[in-house]
Amino acid sequence: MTILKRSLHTTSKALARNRQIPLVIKAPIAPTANNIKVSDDHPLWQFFNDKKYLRKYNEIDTVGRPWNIPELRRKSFNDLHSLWYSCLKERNILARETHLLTAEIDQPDRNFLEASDKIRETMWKIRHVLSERYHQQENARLDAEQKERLLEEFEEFYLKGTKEEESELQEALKRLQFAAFGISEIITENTVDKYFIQGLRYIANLKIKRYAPESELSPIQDVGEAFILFHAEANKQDIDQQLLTIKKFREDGISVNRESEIDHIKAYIERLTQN
Amino acid sequence: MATRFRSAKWLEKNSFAPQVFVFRNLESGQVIYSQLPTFSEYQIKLLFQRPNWQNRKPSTRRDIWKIMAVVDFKNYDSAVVAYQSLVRLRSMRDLNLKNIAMKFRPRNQDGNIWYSAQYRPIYTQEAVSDISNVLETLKKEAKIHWEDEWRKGDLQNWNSDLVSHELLDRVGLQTPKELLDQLRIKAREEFKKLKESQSVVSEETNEQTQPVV
Repeated sequence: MTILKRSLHTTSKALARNRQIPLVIKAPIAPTANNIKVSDDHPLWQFFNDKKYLRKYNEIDTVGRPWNIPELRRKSFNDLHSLWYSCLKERNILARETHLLTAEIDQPDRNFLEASDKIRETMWKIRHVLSERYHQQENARLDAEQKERLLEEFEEFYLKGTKEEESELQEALKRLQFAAFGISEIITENTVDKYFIQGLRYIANLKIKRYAPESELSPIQDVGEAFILFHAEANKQDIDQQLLTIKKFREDGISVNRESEIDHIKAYIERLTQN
Repeated sequence: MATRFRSAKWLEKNSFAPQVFVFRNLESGQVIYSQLPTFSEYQIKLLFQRPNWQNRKPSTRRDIWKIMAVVDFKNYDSAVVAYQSLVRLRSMRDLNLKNIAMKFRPRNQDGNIWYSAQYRPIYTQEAVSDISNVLETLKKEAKIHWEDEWRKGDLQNWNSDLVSHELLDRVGLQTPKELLDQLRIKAREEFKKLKESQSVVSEETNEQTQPVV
């Protein structure tokens, strides 16, 4: 029996065109994050602790306690500011991890939640301390405004006082200087600070206005001059005499440097107590 | 345009580049191969021949199809053969070699293909595997522009002598039509250069082989 072979060239060419390349099914290729290179300073790393996907229980804080308010009160604003952001970053990390765990085990993990709650407590306490400071500052500002009003009222009362009321006025002045500036009648009991200096100036100018209103030396700015008038007796004669001394000082160019006025006053008081 | 099979000649004549386009469905993770930078019901009919509830026939909604990869080939014939092979592999996975394909598909507790909502990630992974497989089998050089770095998977799966990988412009992805058009122009220019250089080389070799009179 003979086998007939196809030998027509056109047919074989046509068949060659339809000849298919042998293909086989291969396993799927899963995407991988290894292809992605992330720089170390990528901002989103701040949501990871040490670049870890999920921390273990021994790597999160399970034994610590939140900061308490007295501890936070001792810290400066900058310290509180950095602590706040440290807390915020840690809470963000914990929130991310809690979210992952919630998806994994269908409920939030207790350890991670507790760690987050501790930080949350620190954070509200920081806010509390800052609000305390804010209210203190506000109160101090209001106090200062009140003090200014009080001094203006006292000045009016002091200048309008008659000669018969002189002793009452001096008693009132003593009470005011203690209340508003903390200046005690007993000179050795005083602490020289900025309020003491403010008080000296206020009382010196008050005395000039009452006993020598026509004086050209007013207002007194130099603290040395203010101390002379503060120390003077509250009558026209003594004030005039002290004004003459001040005038002479000014002519001789004697004055107290503004930066060293507290030291100067301390020295004056020491000298007075020694005498 | 993308409503029927296009030959290499037609592609060249109509200013298309030797490319194969891979689109992925954001909702279901299914993949479409196309010869042109666009697709139509034709590709969906061709690539989803036996749809079922796990592999539904997708719609042509433009907003849920995003470009996944663009494969540049050295010539039009390679692009066409690669496209045909990809389509064949798809039909093998869905029809005659479904049993083998199903072995690779991860299952959920009920024994169905793993899914989250309507999304089955295995379809995109199969497409990546098929592209790699086709390039390896055909031994064709290609440059693949990926939508992102991670989709191509481990580089060990790719023949580095044949395939080079590039990343699509992330900002450009927001205007895919323009991006694909630019890729087309670039690929066409490269093809022209290659053709010219090949013709120069062939001329030189012809001259050398001619006998000196």
